[in-house]
Amino acid sequence: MKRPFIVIVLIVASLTLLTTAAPTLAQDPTPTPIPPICLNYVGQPDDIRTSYYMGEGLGYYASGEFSRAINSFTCVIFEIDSNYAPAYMARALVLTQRSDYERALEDYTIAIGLGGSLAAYNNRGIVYTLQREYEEALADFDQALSRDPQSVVALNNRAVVYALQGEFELSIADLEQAIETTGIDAVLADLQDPEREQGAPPIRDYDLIEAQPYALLGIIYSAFALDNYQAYLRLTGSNGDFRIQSAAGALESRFTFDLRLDDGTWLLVADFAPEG
Amino acid sequence: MRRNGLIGTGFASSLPLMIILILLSGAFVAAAQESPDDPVGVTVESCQALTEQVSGALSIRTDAVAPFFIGLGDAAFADDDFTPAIEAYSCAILADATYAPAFMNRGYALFAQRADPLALADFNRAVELDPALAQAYNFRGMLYTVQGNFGLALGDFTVAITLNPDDVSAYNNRAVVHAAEGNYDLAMFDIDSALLIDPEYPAVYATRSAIYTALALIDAEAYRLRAGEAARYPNGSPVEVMEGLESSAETGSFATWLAFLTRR
Repeated sequence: MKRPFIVIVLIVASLTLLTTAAPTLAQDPTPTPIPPICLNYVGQPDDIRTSYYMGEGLGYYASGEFSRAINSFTCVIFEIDSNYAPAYMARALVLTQRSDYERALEDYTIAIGLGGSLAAYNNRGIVYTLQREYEEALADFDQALSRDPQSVVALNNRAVVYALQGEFELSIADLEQAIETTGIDAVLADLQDPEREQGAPPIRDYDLIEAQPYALLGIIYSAFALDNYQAYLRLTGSNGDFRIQSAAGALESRFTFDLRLDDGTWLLVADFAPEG
Repeated sequence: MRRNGLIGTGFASSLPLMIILILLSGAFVAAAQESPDDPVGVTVESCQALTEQVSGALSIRTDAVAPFFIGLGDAAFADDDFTPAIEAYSCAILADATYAPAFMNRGYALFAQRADPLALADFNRAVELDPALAQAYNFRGMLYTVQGNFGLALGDFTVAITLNPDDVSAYNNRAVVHAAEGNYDLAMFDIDSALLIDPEYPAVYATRSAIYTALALIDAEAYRLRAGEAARYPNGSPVEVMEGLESSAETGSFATWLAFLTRR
């Protein structure tokens, strides 16, 4: 009767060995990078191949084929020009979409080393923000603004980080500067003019990004309001006005879902273009 | 690039390109011309909108606009999104109406959409602009093959092989046509050549299996003719082989295989 049992034990032991060996093999600390597959435009001039693979990568990125997009951008880096900053920028953008923040940071850091553009600092700041490394993010947005103090994108992003840190006044200052920079307040004033002709076009074309500071200001003032409601409720305890309790509860819920600032959706990615 | 049995190997070009200086990010404008026979009617504005649509926050500055759009088109084509692929290739043509690979790739996408006359026009334009563009002959040969114009197809595959002797797909495609014409020896010669170049090329084995099936049916028929009444006796194993072959003939005949290999 014992022989079958021994056989079963041996089989189970063998299976255990197999199942435990697999993760051990998989834990190679320095995996070999997989070379990209770059079969098109072989033998063509570098600028032609670079343009092709940037286009291909962007096409894949637009259709959500992130692995293929990474392959395309890696072709540029690996096979054509390891100093071509936009390929690192584009690949970092895809990696960010895939929540592969560490590799995205590596690529942005290389791009910064290759020229230190506003876009590279801004976009790396976004990744730091997503990782809740707010000091590093602020440092990057500062660098971006040192290159263009009127960058609406960088002002917007720094305002978000300030708000996440509870620095509401600094956040409001950045947003107001963004409004002043674009002059969108004049467009708004025109749209609000009671004597304005119905259906008339705005005084100038504008980008929706220019309107975003107003949205963020609304969120921040709501946060202010919540702070004040909570101060009132702390002082009054259970005797507080139920309307304020209700309003505070509603706002808290909003900050948990619709108006949360830490999910990256309020951050603006910067355009980039190579030098030359 | 691979579509069942008839195979294209990508969109590489061997000729230097006419590069026009255009900034995609700002002014994809000045040098653009209306493209003749444009099947989708792209404009400078629609191409610029396409760039913004796919690149979102990215704006790429490049002097090589046509390859950029071909890259966009290839990405769409890889997902079988033929209409956006055709749009992107048309933008490449709009940027540079002398760029042969753009016509070739658009032709191939049109071919995939069964728009054969438009595809043929594009292939013709591609080889007119660049008579050394081997892949364009290969693609046009594929079009001729599915149309049953085996003579023209053979001519194009032969030119493709002459221009690029390492083109496995052209050998494979020519083997398909040879076999379709009943020239199995020539077909096998091309199969052998293809496998010498790349023994890992899967489609070549599919083609060879079709040829073997066709040859088996020919031998089976030869057996039947020679065995006469004896072939009908149920106790001989050759009869069982025959029946097996005949029962699978509907799925294994070369005509069926050809339809499969050339389907789009």
